[in-house]
Amino acid sequence: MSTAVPDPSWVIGKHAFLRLKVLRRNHRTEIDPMCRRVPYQWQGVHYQDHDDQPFLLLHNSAGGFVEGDAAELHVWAEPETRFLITTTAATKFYRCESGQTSVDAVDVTLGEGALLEYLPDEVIPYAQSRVARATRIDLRSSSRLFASDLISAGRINFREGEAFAFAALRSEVQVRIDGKLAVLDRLQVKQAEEVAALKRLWNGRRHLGTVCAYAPDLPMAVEDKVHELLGELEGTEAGVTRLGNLVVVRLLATDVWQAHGGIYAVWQALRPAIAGKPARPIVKC
Amino acid sequence: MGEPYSLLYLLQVASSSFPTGSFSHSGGFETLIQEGAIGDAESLESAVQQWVRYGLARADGAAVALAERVEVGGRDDPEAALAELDESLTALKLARESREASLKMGDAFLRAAGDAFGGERLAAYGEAVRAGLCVGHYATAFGVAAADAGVSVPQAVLAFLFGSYSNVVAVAARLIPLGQLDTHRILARSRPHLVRCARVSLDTKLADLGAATVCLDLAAMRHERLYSRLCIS
Repeated sequence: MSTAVPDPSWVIGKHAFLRLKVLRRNHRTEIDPMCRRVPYQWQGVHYQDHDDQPFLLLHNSAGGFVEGDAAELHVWAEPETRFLITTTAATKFYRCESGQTSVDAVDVTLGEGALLEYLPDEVIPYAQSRVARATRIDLRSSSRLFASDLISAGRINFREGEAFAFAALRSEVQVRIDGKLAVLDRLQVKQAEEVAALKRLWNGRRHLGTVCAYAPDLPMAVEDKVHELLGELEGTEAGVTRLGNLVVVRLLATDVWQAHGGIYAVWQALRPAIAGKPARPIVKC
Repeated sequence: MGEPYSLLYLLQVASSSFPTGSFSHSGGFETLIQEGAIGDAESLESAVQQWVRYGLARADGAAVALAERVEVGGRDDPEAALAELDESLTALKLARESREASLKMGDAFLRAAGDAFGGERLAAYGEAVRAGLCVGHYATAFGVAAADAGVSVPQAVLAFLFGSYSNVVAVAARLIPLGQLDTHRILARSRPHLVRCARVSLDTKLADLGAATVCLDLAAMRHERLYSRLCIS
């Protein structure tokens, strides 16, 4: 594994970097760290399903992003690999007092027939934080994907005035299939008026979840099963739609555990069709 | 085409009588009305204003400006730029019905505007859509046609936003229901808001297209499963 050198033109801060190669080896999928820079840590993978699919717990030992911090994750997955990525904890963005931005970028490219399950914990933009985050996933039409994204309105249980108090947030998720943009979920608020409006636009709820799931052979009416499960959740409002073999879910929740529950319900409904096995609680310790 | 002609052009294409089928699309508002989130003129006005400011202005409204600028800016390959714009618009519309509505209205606009006004740029864009190079979103077609008509970019954007706003208000007024005077009071009050939203559209670059109207995404998705409904979207 080599060490990446930070770009000297960047704003002062910690610049985490991790480049991974996902490959078939020893009759299973394995993940090789090709290049790394702290505070991203490499701690190996787990095989929590007791099969050939590794679970990677992405660990940024900084514990959060302060002003000027950046993190980049680049993953290249060879054909027919299958793997899951989650985070060890929520991604926290702290206040930025000098007007600089904290940047988090995730870039995954899947080969033919590869499967990615991407279930990171929530993102928490603290009061006065300035956040730019981008998740880009490139699929082939034969690949498979279950990707979730969860944004909280702030450190809402800490004290009053922490919800919807970030200074700026640009958050985008892009999914490309065979090079063609299939999903572009771009939320951008950079003025106080826009941040305040989010509270109304989220119907007074404080957590926004989005799921994009794709498989070339997604069964007919599988989205109806998702709809049924989402309808049973408390404290959550949700919608599901299907665009060809892509299913997109939006959900708004009052509490973060409800948002996690909603995403897990969607995973329960879709994982058998996408990964050929049932959903399971991910062990993080 | 002089300024009086531009005004007449915009009055015609932004009117609900222009045959795009816009009267049958609620953009998710039918769900909100059925679920009781919108039930009177006040709640409708507030919701539609939010939609234009935080959804339409930075997406379709901006696309009108971007498309027209592609055409009048002398780009070497306008077709590729419009294809990229169309691709972004498709991907931004997360709900199936929202995507389909924009494409259906785009198709209808291309035919109606092409027939009524002609125009080389619109004809070329129509060819690109038929050839599968572009997909033909309503906002893109509106911007291209505005370039043919010689309408200024700010005026085209403002007319597009007003046409979209007045259409949703009219559709919602049928569903709630509201009287004509209620509807026109809402429209009259919208003018300063729409001018501000048009500025947002004009300042939005391709790389910044986006939307924050999550509650409408949910409503548009749930619309697919409404038991009884009058609108297509």
